[in-house]
Amino acid sequence: METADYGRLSARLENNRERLIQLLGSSTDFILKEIRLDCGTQVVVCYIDGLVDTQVLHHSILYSLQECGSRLELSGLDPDRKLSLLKERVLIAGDMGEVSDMQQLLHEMLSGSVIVLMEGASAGLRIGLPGWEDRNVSEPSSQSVVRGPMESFTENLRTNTALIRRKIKDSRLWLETMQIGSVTQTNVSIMYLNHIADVELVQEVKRRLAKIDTDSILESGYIEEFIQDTAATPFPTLYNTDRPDTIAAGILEGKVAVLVDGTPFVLLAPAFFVAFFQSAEDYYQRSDIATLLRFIRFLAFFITLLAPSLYVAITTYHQEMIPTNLVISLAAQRESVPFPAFIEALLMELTYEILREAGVRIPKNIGQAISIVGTLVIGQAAVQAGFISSAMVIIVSITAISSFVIPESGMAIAARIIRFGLIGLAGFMGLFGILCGIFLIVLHLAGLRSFGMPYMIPLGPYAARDLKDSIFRLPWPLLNTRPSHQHVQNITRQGRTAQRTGGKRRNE
Amino acid sequence: MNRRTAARLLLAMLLPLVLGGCWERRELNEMAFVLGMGIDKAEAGYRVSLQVVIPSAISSQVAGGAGSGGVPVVEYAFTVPTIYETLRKFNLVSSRSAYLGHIRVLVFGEELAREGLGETLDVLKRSRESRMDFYVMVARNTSAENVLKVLTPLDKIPASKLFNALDKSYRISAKTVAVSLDEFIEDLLAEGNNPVLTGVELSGEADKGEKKGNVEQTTPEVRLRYESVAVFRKDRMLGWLKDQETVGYNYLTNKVVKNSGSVAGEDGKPIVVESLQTSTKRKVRMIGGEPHIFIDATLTSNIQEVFSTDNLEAERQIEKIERKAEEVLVTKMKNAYEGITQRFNTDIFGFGQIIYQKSPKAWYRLQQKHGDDYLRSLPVHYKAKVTINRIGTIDRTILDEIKE
Repeated sequence: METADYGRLSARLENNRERLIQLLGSSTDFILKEIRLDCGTQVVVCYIDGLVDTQVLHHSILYSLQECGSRLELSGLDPDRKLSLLKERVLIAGDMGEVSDMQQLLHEMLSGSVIVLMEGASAGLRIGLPGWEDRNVSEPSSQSVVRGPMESFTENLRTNTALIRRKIKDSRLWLETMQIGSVTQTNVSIMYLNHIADVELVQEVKRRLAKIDTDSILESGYIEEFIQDTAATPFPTLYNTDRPDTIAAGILEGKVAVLVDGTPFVLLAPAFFVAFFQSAEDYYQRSDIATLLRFIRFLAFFITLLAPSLYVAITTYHQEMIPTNLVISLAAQRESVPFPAFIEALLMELTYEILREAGVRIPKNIGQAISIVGTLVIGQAAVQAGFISSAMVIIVSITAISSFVIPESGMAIAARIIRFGLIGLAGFMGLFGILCGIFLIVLHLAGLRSFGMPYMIPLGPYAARDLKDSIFRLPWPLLNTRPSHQHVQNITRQGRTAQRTGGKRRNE
Repeated sequence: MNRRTAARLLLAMLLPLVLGGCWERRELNEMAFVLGMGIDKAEAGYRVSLQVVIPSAISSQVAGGAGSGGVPVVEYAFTVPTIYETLRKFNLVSSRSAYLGHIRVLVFGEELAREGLGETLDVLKRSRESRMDFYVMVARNTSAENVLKVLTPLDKIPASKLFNALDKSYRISAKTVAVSLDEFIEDLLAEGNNPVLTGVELSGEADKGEKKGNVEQTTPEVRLRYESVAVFRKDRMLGWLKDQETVGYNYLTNKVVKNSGSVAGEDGKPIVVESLQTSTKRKVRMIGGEPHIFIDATLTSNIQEVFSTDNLEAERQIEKIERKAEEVLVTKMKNAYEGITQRFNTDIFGFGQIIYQKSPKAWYRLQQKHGDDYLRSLPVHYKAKVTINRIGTIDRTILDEIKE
């Protein structure tokens, strides 16, 4: 990291002033206000316009300095004493401290502090008054639920930590913050429950964060790529979400949350394969429907992964597997199609990916164009034009819609990437090829780790007691222990709640 | 071995997988789906006919296709020295290669069947393509080629019609037998067992049946129908069963799903009883060192039609009908067994096999003693149990009241 050392503050106000203007390149949002106190002491108040709460600034700093400052008998005192008197008696603010070197001063000022410098004093005062335009807490955009909290993280780190604190009111919920990025100086916080989270896990997260040496962190995606176990995998090994309830639940299971200033997406480490098929809503709905939905999500994952490749493999290599009537109607559809099934599948999947990307990027007010073009390109028109067969349209559609069933988009993305490889293998070697592909995927998954823990847990290595909340979701009264595979310090989640058996009410 | 070498070795091991790539790749529109295959005897070798489906004529909506203008299938027939030669000759007349994976029916000409089918079976059993679950039948009084020519009205594909009709008819009437190629070969090879195949017949002239006009009238001039069952000794056909013999045969071999028959009421008029659940237990017991066959048929039935004026409200009356039905059933089985044994003297019932399974020694003794004539001296004991569950929505017949 390029460390800028600008030295200590000078005792001479004029020097500091010139230094600041020079370092900030006379930026126009840098405000520097000179005030002369009654005792004749020169004071400079400086801040970055837009980053501080101007109203509070005027009220409790500028006003105090000019009005109250004049009432204090300061003359004759040594400047450092004057400064601490100002700090203790005059200025009204909670977050206050001293800064002695230029680099710290700049950092504080650029993070939304007001700096007060005094002629002759060896240090300056910093008053934290951050105040800028923020987005309100709104509905989560990435993982919506029917039942459950409707709030999501925002771009403000403090708001985000507060959202988690509001859910876990325990002193053992610890928060540590560090600055990452030599230029952006982004605040990155980790949150965990001190009595639950594995000590080594916390250490490991901290260690990996500390090792990051980059100039900028603009989103949690940067952090994710820096701290993941390996980049050589399409599967996500960190969970990200903008839902505070999901993060709180993760923390309660002994995971560590990584919050990055400037993004509503919070990371959760470690992340396991099954976690990507769980939605926050699973825990708010009844357990039976939650379990059913989890099965459907796994099914959808396999469909989105395999449907096009199975279609290609079976229609070009294993025609005997299709019922006679179906094979005839498939053959009839393919009668006028000029491409082999493999090319057809590849073309259609590519078309869909293009459509999807366009749909994300297109400005909202012309978004309708996408749906019109979409129905033409993947639809009856394409079939009638003789480009593709109608069966392929159905395959592409079911593949596309299935990918949206997976709650966490990272896993859906993995399936999207692997899908193309599997189509290639299917076009090349039929079911045998698909089998080879699946074999490789399973091998890869079995070797994958997230923060040193096996990715496929509790399926492999098998952890029977953790199955209760993996593919299945047992009723809450039965979820007595936290996931054991994470080496949590405190495995018991709840006491044994006596479940009412039967509907009998005793009349005594 | 360091990682680099290991990775290279692994790559070297994975790459040969690719060498087999695209082997046997076939697009659906490069294949001719053979749905029906017919084999007749020719002067030299065989006359093999293939019924190939024309997909675009079947599907209701095909982009740019011909629509439903033409005939749904096309037949190719070749005179060949070996069956496999057919597939080679096929490509001289067709743009697509024949695919045998979806054969629904295999039809043998009667003449060929009488001379023996053995030679023709090898290629189908050996082939990786064919699925062996299609039905086999014998063309009665006509050639297999003619059978596969006829267009059918309800199922557009004649081969599918033949398959589905046989599947239904044996379940509902018990007057046919549905034998797949696998079962046929199994019966052929089993000790003390001989196969049977259903016969398929043409009504009308085959030449008219192949025109589209045949299916454009409410009463098609030419129809395919199942008629009788061909009896084999090993791979040679001996003759045809009578209708009632087929029913009896199906009862004896526990192949009946549904069947109906009539018993006479008090006044001699018929009462139709339909069996809904049928099971026949076949047992061998050694009595005095000789194997005896015990047949025990259990039927659950309904009354479906009544001409007689019997009072069906009475429990006693129902029981009478049950006893009569049992008698009728036993007679059916007995007549079938005796008739078949007398005319053909071939063990299509598999009695030899169950004796062999019970006691191989007894089977060899039986063979030594009687040779292939063992059926004639084999004691068979019949028993039937009929239970009538329901008599329908009315009890007494309404005929009574009409007459008054």
